Amino acid sequence: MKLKWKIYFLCLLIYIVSIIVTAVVVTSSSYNSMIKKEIQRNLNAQASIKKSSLLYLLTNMKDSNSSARLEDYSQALVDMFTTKNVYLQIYSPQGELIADGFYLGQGKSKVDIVETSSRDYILKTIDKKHYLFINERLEYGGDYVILTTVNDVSQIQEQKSNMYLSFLRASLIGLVIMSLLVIMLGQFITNPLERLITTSKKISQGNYSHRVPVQSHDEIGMLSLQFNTMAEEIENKIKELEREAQNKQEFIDNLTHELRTPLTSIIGYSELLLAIKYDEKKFTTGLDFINSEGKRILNMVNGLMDLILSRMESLNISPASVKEIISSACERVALKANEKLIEIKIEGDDFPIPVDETLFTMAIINLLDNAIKASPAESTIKVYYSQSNNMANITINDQGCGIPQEHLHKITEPFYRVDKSRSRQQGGAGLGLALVKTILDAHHASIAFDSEPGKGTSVTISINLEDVK
Amino acid sequence: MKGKDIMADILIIEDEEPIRELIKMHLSLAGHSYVEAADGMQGLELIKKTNPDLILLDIMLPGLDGYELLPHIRSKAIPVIMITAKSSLSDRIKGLNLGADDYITKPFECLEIIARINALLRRCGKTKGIKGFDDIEVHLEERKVFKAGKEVELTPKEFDLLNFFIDHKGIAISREKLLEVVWEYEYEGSTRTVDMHVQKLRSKLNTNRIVTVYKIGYRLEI
Repeated sequence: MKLKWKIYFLCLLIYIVSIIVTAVVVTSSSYNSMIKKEIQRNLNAQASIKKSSLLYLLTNMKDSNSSARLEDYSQALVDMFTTKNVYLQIYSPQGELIADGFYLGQGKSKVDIVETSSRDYILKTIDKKHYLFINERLEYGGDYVILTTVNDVSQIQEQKSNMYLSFLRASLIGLVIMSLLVIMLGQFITNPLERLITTSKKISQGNYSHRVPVQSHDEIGMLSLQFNTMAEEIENKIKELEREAQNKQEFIDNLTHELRTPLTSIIGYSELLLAIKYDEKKFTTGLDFINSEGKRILNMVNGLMDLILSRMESLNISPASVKEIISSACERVALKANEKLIEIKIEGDDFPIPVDETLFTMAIINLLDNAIKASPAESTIKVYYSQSNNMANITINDQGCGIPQEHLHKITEPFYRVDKSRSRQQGGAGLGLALVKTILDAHHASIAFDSEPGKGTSVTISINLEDVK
Repeated sequence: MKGKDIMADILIIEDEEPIRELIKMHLSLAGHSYVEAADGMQGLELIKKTNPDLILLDIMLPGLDGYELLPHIRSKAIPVIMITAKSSLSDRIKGLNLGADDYITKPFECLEIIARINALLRRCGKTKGIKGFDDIEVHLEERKVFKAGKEVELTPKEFDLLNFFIDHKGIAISREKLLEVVWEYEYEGSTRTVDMHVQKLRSKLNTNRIVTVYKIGYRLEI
């Protein structure tokens, strides 16, 4: 059931219950007070009837003979005092009806014998009409009868029913008005919720940039605001996922390309050489290409293996001497450096850095390798390291060809090469910097490139010495 | 080196040297001449300057990529075959939408590239209609073969076989491959059909250019 109907029916229930309770309480209290007044009024009337009766008896019994009994005058009394609204009945002390002005009850009612001289009264319903019976002893000359006055009090009951009826009428009108008000209230409360629902539907359908308009500062407004925050968070996450998926797709595309290109050459040349007549020049060219392209695939596979292993391996971090790491990396590239007559200068005071020695050395070797490849013959590569404010910085500076600005942000992506043909000649698979980045990411270290084409490149690695522990 | 034997002039735009060289070897074997470009900029220059019959275009190029070059090629209405390592459908569709006439995915087969070039040239009406070797002339339009000016009667299959050999000069072609392309079906044990047709072709044309390659098949040697 919809919330607005729940509100509607709940309000309806509360309204009906309160109307009923009010009607019952108000009607019965006013009925009670009216009936009390009526009783009082009738008691007064009865008192005056009694007095008049006594006066009548006094006058008549004095005149007649004294043997006349009180009962004998009863019918006369009844006839005299019974009026349209007040009926008189007289009972013998034994409770037998002697004279009756109230014919309805004839033969049926038998008054309870009034023992004391005090009055008592009772309300009775006879044939759907309500009567007040007041009983009292009428004593005269040592003898007594019971004088009963009967008053029709039906109009009080009628008033009570009328009151209920007018309550019902008023409450029906109230019900209509209240229904309208409650429906409006329901709309007012549920409209912002409906908007929330619509928006969340749209979001779940993939429209992640959709938002709810916030129109108030109450709980629903807060909910909308919170909902928007959540939607934004989801949108960001989705975008991030999409980016990641795109990166993965790019990686796969690149990998396919990088594999297919050399394979095309290898298969193509071998097929060609198998099919053509022997020709020394063609055979030499073809075999050379088969050889170099085979090596290229090997290079790429090695690079990929390093990349995968560096991602999978758990780091074995322990304090190591930065000087030793750099020296051992330099030794590994010394041969290549010597070939180009490149000098590698190391500067800095030794300090321990918390790294995985094997992987970190691999990263440094890759960076040195890149520097050597970029450097012209007989140039210098400088490596310096320092620590300040818990940060260790290692910088590798070369005087090589540099990297154009527009390439800088992409060079750590796998297979990305600034100059493809040059890289190919040098046997690069475009995975070196991707490997370095992976290793440094695992160390929570950062890498920054500062380069000017034609002048050289500076690569700086920064490690937070506190972070890696 | 333009002459009677040159069938078409082809521009190769491919940055990978080994592949470029490989295509060049195939083109010269098939009797095409070529110009080459190693990157996008060079390619664009050659598109503007020269007027090749067909362009072989790599997609991933330094400088300008193949997609960027396609509109320039299109404006000159030169047929293009894309060579791409990207095999996804969207890449292919993108290239074809931009005006490429055909595509070849790396790694490609040797015979495939020449076959596609010839097919495209034929579709675009850029073949000369006459090809041949020595004193043998093949008139494609009329499907007639002349030896020293005199017509030689060939069956349709013999004609197709000869045509295929001429298109793939210098390359050994297996009997299975010949069955596949000329007869357009593949089943074992019927390579004898190929042998019989080659025998007939040799005697009808009175040539020893179609040589048997041991364990492989046949090769038209010129």
